[in-house]
Amino acid sequence: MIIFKRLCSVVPILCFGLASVFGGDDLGDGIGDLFEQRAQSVVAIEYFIQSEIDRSPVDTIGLVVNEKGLIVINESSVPNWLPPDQFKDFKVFLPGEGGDGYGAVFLGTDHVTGWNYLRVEEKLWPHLVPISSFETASPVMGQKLWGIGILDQNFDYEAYFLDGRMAMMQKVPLKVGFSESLLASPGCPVFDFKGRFVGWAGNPVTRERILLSEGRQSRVGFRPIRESGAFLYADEFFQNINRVPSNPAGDPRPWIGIAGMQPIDRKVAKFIGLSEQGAVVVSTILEGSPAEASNLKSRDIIVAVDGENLPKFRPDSIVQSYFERQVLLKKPGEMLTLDVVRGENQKHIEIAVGEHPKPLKKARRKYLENLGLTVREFVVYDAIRNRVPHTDAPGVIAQFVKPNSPVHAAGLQLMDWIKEIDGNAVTSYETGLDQLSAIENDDSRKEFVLLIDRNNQTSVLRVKLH
Amino acid sequence: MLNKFNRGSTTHKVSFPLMRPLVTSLLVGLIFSAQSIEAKSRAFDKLLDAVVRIDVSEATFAGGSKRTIRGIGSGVIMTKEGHILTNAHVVSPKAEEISITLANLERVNARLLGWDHWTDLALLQIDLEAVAKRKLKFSVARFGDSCRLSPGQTVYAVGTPNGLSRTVTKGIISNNNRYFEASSQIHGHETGYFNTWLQTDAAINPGNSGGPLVTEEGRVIGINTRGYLGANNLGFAVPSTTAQSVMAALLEKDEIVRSYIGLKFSPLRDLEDFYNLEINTGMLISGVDPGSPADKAGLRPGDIVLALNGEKVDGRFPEQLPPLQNKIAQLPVGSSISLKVKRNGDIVKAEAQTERLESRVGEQWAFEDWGLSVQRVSRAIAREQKLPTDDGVLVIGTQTAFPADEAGLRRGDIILLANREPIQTLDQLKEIYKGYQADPKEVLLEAQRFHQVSFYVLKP
Repeated sequence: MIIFKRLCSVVPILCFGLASVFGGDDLGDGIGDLFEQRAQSVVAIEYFIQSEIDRSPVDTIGLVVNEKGLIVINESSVPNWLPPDQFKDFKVFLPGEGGDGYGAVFLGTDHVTGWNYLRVEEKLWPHLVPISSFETASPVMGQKLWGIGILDQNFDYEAYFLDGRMAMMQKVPLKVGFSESLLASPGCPVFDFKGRFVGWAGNPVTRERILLSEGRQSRVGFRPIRESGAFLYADEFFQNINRVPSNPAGDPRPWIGIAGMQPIDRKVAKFIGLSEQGAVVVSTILEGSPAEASNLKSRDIIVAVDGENLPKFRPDSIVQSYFERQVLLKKPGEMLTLDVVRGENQKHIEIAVGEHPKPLKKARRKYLENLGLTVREFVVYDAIRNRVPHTDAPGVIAQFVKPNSPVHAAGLQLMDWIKEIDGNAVTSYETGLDQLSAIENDDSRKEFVLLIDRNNQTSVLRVKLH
Repeated sequence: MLNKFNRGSTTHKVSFPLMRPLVTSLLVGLIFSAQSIEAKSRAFDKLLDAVVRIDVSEATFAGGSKRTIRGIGSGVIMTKEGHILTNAHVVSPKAEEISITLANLERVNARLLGWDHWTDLALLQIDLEAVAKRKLKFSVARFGDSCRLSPGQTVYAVGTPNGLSRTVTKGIISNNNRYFEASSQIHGHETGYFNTWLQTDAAINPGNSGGPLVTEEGRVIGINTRGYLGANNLGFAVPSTTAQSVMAALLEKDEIVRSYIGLKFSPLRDLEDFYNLEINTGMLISGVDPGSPADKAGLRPGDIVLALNGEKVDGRFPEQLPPLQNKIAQLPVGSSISLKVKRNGDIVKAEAQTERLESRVGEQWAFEDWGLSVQRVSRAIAREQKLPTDDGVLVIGTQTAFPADEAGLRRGDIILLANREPIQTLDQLKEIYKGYQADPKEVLLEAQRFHQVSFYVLKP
């Protein structure tokens, strides 16, 4: 039944694709060959996300980067907050081929772009064509472009043809082109009609529509699932593609220790005499951070990085991503200079970039099956969320609460901060885990008591054991 | 403790020997009953003449401007001087006009004398000049004793449900000691920390609020306050013991000053064994407000209170908590309170100085030219949001297409600076606004939303 439904939804797309191939005059001869060759730079990928009690399948699309089987997947296809050991059984499929697929190894996520990398097993390498083997070009306004779409698993990830015209370019902050129609599946390449690589399709934009139903109308946004009209420019793609992490958990991440950055909107910028450039205001300076050591203050308005004024973007909020990117491009130990406006004064601040304290995905965690609970180490993210200094925050976090388990029945919720167990303060991840493991393994225990903090409110939970 | 199903002392106070012949007893019973019904109806009629309908026009600041909203409630006249007891959620200090409809269908204005959202009670007084000039008559109701009620006893609710004046509904006391966790609010003001409720199945609908719950003799034993919407006959009244003491206090002063130490309590339930406590002792501290007197005194969530000021504490059940909370609230502000608590098997003594209980809702105001309504940041909000101080002004509403809305300010933002001057109080922002009204020029505001700083320009 499900397969039948999917068929129905896919047939119109197929028809549209076929009509494009056979109906247009300007496609010229030989587009079929261009398509066949270029479709070999695209692969479909399947893997599982393993959780405490189940596994959920994910399918996505990858682009072949080089002849050594390196494949890049876009940022939204792999959750970057989960530890990489929860990603299981990566399989790579050639479009339209079917079969059991080829094994692949997850190489990690780049912290600047968010792109994910895989290496597929060697026997597939000869069948892949790296995207770098094609010429590249920069699209011009109104130019006709085409791209590759990929059907779902029921069609063995068959590749199909899509086309459209270049409609607009925006810096967000990297250059992204937008076509007036759907041009490629997210993760697939986009070409011009000479077969030159012009961009890498990203996630589709939401389009506004009016929904009319029985005389009533409402505004709705809709977003296609398997096709997109937005693509990253080829030159930006190649400038960033070589940031392959050295290990699946990721490379040391640069950090200056600020949180809550907000863009200055254009009305405010004009008022404070910054209308020719972008600016961001810093909300929180974390204790013990490089930013604090360099005397950056909350409410400082950052106007320049390393002597270069922040550019203006549309919408204003892009300047924030631009600034974050400038910090992430540094290496721990390098210097970052900032020009800031503080009240009526301008200040020049030099920060020695540090290394990010343990990120969420590297936090230690353990599933205690009898209690129905995964406890996780307290990390800087939790400190920001709970408004406490990250340098002084004992306790553990409830990372997972199993439905109908003893802790669930006691009212424990996801992300609750466990501060005391049976009246004993949790002073570190180890002490918290030791205490809970002892309870987990003690069959004679009938109950225990947790003191938790949730949204700045504490409560005492009594957990009854079976 | 309770006489179950003591169905009203008047109708059934038939004290003849049980061994009398059946016929005689029936006869006597009937005669006796007829007499008491007559007596009861006179008292009951008098009560009905003391119940009033209240029409209120009230200012609201929610949408970025000051607007007037109208509401209908009930009340009961409790003194010859025309003092009316009603709910705090019927008449608040934001009321601009209070109109009373007496039982004889005469209308007269009233003013608010005192307001106590913590118990959801308000005290009004009828315009006595108008009463004298127009020779208006009303009767006065009398309090009964809510402590002597028993479940099953017949009671009546009188009021103006859905605008239907002088509606009497009948029911019984379903529970005489109902506890609610303090989840309900009156325009954002806290309520229900210091009392339990009388639960009745007498039909209570919107508009009944502020009207009396009475016995068959017409004695006021509660002020009808709440009901479950969509449920069948689950109504709740503030008991007369609470109403009587609040009324006495509000006759003296327009508000009730209470003490606060910053502790949240939970019932201990059957955790006595777990904590190895003496029987029938203890109350669990489930929360300590950061920066509060209890916090400064070193009290921590998870501590078990054994004694307050040397007096043993029993807070095992939820309905035992409000009286204990009230005990702390009744202390004079600034007085010291000693607590004996159990922590991990040790007995710890703590001494805290009470401070004045303050609502989380600060003074409200609307800057109409900006389309911006605000309230002062209260101590409670500052503590809840972990703000370093209670400086600043909280946005509670903006009006579409007005300068504040256009600038991007939203409900929940906390304004901290205006034209680079710190805004500590509402008055400081009022000054800036005055300057703007005299000479409309752009104003730069700095505000915080979830601890994120942003700037906004209000353009004329």
